[in-house]
Amino acid sequence: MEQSKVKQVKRMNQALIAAAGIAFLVAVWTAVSDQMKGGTDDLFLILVCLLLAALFAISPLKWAKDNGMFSAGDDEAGVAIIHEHELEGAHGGSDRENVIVWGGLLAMTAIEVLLAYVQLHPGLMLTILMLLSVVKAALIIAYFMHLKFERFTLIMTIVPTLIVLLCLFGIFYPDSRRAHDLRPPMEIGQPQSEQPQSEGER
Amino acid sequence: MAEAKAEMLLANEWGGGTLPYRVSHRKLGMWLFIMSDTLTFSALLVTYAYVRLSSAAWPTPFPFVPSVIFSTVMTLVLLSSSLTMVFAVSAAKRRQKKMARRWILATMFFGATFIVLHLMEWNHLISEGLTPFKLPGEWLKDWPRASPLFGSAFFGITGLHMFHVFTGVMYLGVIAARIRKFTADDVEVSGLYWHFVDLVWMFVFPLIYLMSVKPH
Repeated sequence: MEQSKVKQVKRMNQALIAAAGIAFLVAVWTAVSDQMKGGTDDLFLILVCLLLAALFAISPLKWAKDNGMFSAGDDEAGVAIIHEHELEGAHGGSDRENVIVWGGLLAMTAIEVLLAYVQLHPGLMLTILMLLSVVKAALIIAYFMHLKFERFTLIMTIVPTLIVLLCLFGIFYPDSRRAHDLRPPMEIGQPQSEQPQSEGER
Repeated sequence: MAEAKAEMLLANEWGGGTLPYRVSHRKLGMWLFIMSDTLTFSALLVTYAYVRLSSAAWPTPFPFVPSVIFSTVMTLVLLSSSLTMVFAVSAAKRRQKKMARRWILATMFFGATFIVLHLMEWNHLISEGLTPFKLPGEWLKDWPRASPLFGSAFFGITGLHMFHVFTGVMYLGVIAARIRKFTADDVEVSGLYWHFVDLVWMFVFPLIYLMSVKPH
């Protein structure tokens, strides 16, 4: 019974490793092919492929680590260890820990507001703000929303899905710079300029 | 002994009768809802970034004093409401239901404060002449050719967020009113929703307000 399960897990992991390898190869091919122009599209394709490769590889690597493949242990003992560990159940952070997290969130908000007062270059500003916001979001999800103390399976279901989907949203973003150049020259937000025309028609 | 236990677990894991994620179905449902809602908000925020970058000009109309200070206070209120919600959940887990109710009421108070402050902000902007599809005339003097989509982005994103806060206050109200019937898990699930509303504001606040501070 257990032997067949272990076989299934192994086969699944081989498939995942293969998928990770394919994603990695696509990234490498994008980087070395003649069509590579170093533009935002190429960079984005490479980033998404590397991300997919990392995501595919997480599960097999974790399995390999749990089974002691990196330290030459035997398989079944590893399987037993995971479940013993998970049976202990989830216990959350203490109130003190949560107050510290709250203080950290406030401090990061203060830094953000200070940056807005200093007024940096918009690109640099956006990068710093987004990095800080991602850290804040991670703190809220891990401690306030308790995800850190949930089972690893739940974390693996929620977090990678969201990261991949958000990156896919981002694919459209570089396009916005082009959209501006492609637009025929016209006055935006100035209805006054249209008025002389309509008068002329009359 | 341990191996036999692991074998049993492996055999039963997806065979029914167990909880593969070790969470209740309510909590899993709330997590799935939060994932879908994350995508709703990120679609809106990416659209806002797209429209802003592809427009000829974009107004940056919020003066540091008072607008940004005001919205910083709103952020403080929302962050504090998350902390009180955490205390409510841990009180509920210790089976101190009265204590949990008090913390939930504090959370609702902060949430309502946030809505009132935000409506004041809206009222101020509307009185300046900002509507979803038109900029105030004075702004067009400062930012000629500015895109009127500023209004739709601002009211759309903050409006949807405010609606979420409002829904959250209602949800917590139901939990607090009938706390005897609800378990600690129910309180925790409502807490998940509340923290998510807080989390969304952590992105809305920098992108909408801090990126649009008036040069001074």
